[in-house]
Amino acid sequence: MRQNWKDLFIKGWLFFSIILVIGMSIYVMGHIIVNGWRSISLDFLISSPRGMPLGTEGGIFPAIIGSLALGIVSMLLASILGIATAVYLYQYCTSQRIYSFIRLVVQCIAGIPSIVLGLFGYTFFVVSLGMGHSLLAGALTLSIMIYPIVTINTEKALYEIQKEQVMVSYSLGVSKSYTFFHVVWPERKNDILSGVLLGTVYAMGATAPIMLTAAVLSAASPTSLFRPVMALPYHLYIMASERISIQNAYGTAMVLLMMLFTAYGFIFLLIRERRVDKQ
Amino acid sequence: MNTVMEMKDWKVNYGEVTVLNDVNIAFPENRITALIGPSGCGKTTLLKSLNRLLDEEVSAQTQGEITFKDRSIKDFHCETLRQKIGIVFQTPTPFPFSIEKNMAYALDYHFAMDRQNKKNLISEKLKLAGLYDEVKDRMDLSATNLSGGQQQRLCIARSLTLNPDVILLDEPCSSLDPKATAKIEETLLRLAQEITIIIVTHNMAQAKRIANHVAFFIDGELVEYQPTNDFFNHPQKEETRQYLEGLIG
Repeated sequence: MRQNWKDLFIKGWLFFSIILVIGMSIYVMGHIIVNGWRSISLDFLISSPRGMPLGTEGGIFPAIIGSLALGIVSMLLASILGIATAVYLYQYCTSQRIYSFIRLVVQCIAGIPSIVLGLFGYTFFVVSLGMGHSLLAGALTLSIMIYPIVTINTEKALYEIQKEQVMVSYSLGVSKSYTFFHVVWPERKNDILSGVLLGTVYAMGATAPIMLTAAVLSAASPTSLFRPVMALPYHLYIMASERISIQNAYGTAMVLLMMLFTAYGFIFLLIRERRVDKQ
Repeated sequence: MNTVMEMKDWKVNYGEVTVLNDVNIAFPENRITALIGPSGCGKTTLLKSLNRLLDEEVSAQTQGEITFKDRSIKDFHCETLRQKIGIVFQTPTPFPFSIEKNMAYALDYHFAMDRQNKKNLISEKLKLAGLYDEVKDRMDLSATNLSGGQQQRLCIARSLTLNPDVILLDEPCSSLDPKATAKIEETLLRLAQEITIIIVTHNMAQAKRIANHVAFFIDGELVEYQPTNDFFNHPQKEETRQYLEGLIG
């Protein structure tokens, strides 16, 4: 009898938690869509901010392109380093000490608050390396932030491959790089790419690292890595915190959310494609 | 009888744990040597030592010397050594490609062969592994769709594509039924005319059926190494006798 109550309590707790989380997510999304859709128009999506103060009229086109550019450049930088780290740990590292040390460093980077990274990006990339407020300085800072996400997700994807398949390839006298490109990558590429995309989504939504390194109130669509850019999260922050236009802040939030959902859609498709392949 | 590989005072540690302790053993050329002993006695580690697969494992420390054709295996480049000493694992591990692509995998890496020569070599090695007749009409089929026994023979055929001098087998029949096991044994006996085979097995009857020599290990130490008949009929050591009678294991 006591056991039944226990089971019932646990079931109820689980059910309540799930309902609460789903309910809250739907409420947040619904709130943004309900308040944001009135701002959405073709003009809002394809024009630059106008009006006085700036942003009360016009649109967010440069911010959309700026966010995409920051996302893409930081994704490229982080995936070069992150995938390389994960492959090194998985295929090349034979010392437990070096393995543990690298894992520790990656976890420490993951624990750095994003505003601290922003400060580092400002002093190092913007000031010391003389990049100024620029797309490149922002993307570099963002890439440090998402590097652990890419590394950990890639490593997780790699460890799902049967280790013996890799060993079989080595045992046939085949090099590690050939093994990676012919056995490991074809088998795990979807999961690795979805990990990279997950990091990109995280980068596109981050405000703190770009506040001090890349984002400005007003700029044209990016044409150079060395120019500052507008970005959706920063635009949203300015619109709301300076009370310039709460309406346009909701519109910006909705566009940002839709872009992130599209990226999540790609991640879902990548993972599903692999599952279908396996069946 | 020539010795093809020899281990001298070979010791392997994983951190504080000693897995193999001062093993001295010589493997005769073109013979089947069976390695037997209780689980965890270091047989698989011994196999992995022979083609330096142990180099890929985190924290494996080694001491002593292993020679292949009278040269230390450390003097060979890893890729060259592994071309000469193939290994087949306990679980059949075909790549998730077609049968043909599995067979061509190592060939494409090591040699620039024309299509026809490659095809002929693949057919020849599949015949040698006793698999050709079963797969000749479906070479494009994914290797993972073959039965366990067929997959294991494909793995043997795949390692044969490099013309190895030695093949190491780590309990290749442990997940197979008696019929598939019989086919693998038949293949091994045929191969042993040209290739040295070193096989880890838990199946004493299998060792008796196919091996020319048997080596018995306990806790990382070589207890006894004799021709098969002598090993089973006149064991020298008390531990061997007890193991054969099932008193330890």
